[in-house]
Amino acid sequence: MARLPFDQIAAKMKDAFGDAVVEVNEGNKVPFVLVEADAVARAAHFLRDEPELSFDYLMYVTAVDLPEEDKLTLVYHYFSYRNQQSLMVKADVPRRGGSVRSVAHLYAAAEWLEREVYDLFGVTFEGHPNLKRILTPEGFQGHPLLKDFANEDYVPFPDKMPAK
Amino acid sequence: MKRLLEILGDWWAGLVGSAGLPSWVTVLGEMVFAAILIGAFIAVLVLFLIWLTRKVSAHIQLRFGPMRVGWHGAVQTVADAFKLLQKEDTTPRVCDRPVFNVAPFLAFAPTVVAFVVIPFGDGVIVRDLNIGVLFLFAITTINVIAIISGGWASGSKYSLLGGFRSAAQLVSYEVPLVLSALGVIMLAGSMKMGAIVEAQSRVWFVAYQPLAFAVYVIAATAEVNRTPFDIPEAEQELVAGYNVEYSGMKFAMFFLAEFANMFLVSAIAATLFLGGWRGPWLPGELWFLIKSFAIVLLLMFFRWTYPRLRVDQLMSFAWKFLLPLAFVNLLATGLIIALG
Amino acid sequence: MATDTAIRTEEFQVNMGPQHPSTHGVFRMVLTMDGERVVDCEPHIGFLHRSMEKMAENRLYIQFLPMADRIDYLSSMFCAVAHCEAVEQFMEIEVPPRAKYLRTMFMELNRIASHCIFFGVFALDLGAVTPFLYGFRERELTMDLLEMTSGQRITFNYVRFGGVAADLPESFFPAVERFIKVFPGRVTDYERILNENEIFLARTKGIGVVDAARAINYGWSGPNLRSSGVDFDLRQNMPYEAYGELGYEPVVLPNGDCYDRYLARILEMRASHALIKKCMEGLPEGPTQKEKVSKFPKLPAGEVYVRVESPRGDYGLYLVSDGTDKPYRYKLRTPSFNNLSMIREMLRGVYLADIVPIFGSLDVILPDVDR
Repeated sequence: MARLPFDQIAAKMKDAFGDAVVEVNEGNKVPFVLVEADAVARAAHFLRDEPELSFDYLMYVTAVDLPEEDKLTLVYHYFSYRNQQSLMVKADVPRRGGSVRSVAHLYAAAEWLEREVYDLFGVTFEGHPNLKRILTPEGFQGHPLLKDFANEDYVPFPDKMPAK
Repeated sequence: MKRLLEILGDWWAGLVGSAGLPSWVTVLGEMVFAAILIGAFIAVLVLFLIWLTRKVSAHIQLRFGPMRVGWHGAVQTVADAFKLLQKEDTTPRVCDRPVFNVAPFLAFAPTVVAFVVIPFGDGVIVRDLNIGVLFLFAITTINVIAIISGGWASGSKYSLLGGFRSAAQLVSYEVPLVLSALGVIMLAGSMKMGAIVEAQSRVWFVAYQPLAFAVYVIAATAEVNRTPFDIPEAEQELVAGYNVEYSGMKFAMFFLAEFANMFLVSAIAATLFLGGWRGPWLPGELWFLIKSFAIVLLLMFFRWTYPRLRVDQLMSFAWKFLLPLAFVNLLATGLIIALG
Repeated sequence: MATDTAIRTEEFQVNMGPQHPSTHGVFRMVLTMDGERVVDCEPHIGFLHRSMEKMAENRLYIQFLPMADRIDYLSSMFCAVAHCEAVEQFMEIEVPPRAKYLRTMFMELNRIASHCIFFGVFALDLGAVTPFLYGFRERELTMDLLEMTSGQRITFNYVRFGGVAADLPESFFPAVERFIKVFPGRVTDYERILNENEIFLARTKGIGVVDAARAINYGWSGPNLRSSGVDFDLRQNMPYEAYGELGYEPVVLPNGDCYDRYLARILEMRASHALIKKCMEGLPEGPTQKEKVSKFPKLPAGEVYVRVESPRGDYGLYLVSDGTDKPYRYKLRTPSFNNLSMIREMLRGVYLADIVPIFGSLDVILPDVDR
């Protein structure tokens, strides 16, 4: 079990992706690597197939809405069963109409996880086999986990409910 | 019992004769009388069987079962029957109405008819047909038609699947069932139920035909759709199978037919293999009931102990295991008879 | 699986659920069938979506504590422990040892309760009704123990920031003694009724086989993953609470079929029983609640990720705080969600009758999937 410490993983990623690695944060309680949005899928591929890293398990994909900074932070949390360590990779996308490459072809788990992020945050995943709403019903309007989701004019099903 | 029936028959014949009516009135009267008797018997029997099932299952499952209505819930089933009678009779919009309405009765009728040739006691039999066993197996097969038409007419995919499975299963298990009975017929040299019981006056056929008895019990379990062969109504997959759309009295008819059938196959087993009504000390009718209920209990124990087979496993079990076994038994019986 | 026969067959669609007895809640599958074979399956979830994550963002940490119990109501202790551990990590406090042991013991009791339900329901899915009530008999024992201490039977609301709500009552000790004594015999009952049953084996052996690589790729965890041959259990590999001191040997099985997934849980019940015994033997004296822990904490800005080995797998909580007294982001990584995501691939080409054991053997619980 050759478990690499976090700074070496980050260094490897910097070597591989150069400027696409925006920030390496070790001070956080969960250290993370922030990459460019268009490098998410490439990073996933690298993390999974690099023999020393072999992050073969995608624990979850989620997002954090940051309206003040006008961005959504996507969070990919990987785990390696061989090395028994985890790695968090983040990427910033715009709050509305954000889009990244899907990692569903690398991690089958991502198929549902990305659908969930699409459903609740409105981020689209290019190349996803079946990007539909998953938790909210068909015809639902809006993305509930955005901070400005709830307001007085909101109508969840405009085609089924009478207008206020 | 035999004496009583003879006295009644003589009295009726005398009555008809003295009134100067033609002789077919006598037969008609006997038929009506038999129908009423059998109908009453089945009604009471099913009420009792349902109560018994609930009690047996409850005690296997560390429960008490019905306890409130009557002694240990004895009249619970009567209350339930009244409840079912009062229920709204719903009919799905997409169903094939005439077939949908007829199917429950079609399921129940053959069971009643089959009781015609069951010898309840010495001479207590409606008609001891000389093709008794054949008649029995022929008439009970009509049940399949009822199940298929019920499943198909409901207009639901679940009930349709249930009906198809049921047809496949019943047709498959009919073969080993009949083959296992053939051994008995060969030994008795007759298809007459009375003659078969007569032939077992010294030794029960189960002693000569243990293999056939085993095959019969297994095939009969499948024939009446009991676990582990209750695939047509696998509630975990098909919700309830062919009767999923039925409610109220029509559902009760299916239910009635199922329980009556369970007793019927047990009664056949008792007659063919366990010496029918023959037994020491006690009256024949009691012996018949004791033996039949022993098999009924066996079926119930199966039901509350085993999981369910899958439909393809069920088929391969019937065709690849039971059928060869039944043939081997038939061959062996034939050889033994031929060699004397 | 269309075959080249003279009879032309036509595929048809069956809607299984959301109101179906064996979808364990409200799960809907649109099945494309060719006779008894499943050609394709389109799963629909979200019927039980209660927007737990959004609700958490609008509640104080202590207000969400009883809500956390309701995320997965069959293993509510785990959700509550994850919530408290996350808050404790922010506050950087150490839980007193007795509280750690109590948490561990009640988690294990809760795991037994959950696995008992699995045992009963799985047998019921295969058409055997009786084991269902056997499973509930033992669940009742654990529920009694949990009720004695927490006052609740299902949603316990027992864990607190920095400890637990109450110490063990006097009546608990004889009751747990009795439980420790009788439980192994009861598990033997379970094994005797199903493990060697020919029909049960025919229905579960070699059905729904998933190898380790595929299980990992789909994000499986917990007993499902371990029955595919992956030797990983958070209790052993990343111990939390008192598991580090107690030691734990995970149950790992090689075949990855329905039978192994069933057996893994039966064996885990025994393992949990051993852990409870160890907990009672080594239960340290002392307080059950750390003093001077704020009930309405304002957490520093930052983020933590907590993983707990729930009966269904790797239960994770990703908590982002912005320095206020409410969570900023409360992401639940629920094991059932990931375990269920393979269902489409698993069901392709199986018999209709196999859907139920395959789905049942995953032991998903829909509130845990939908949150």
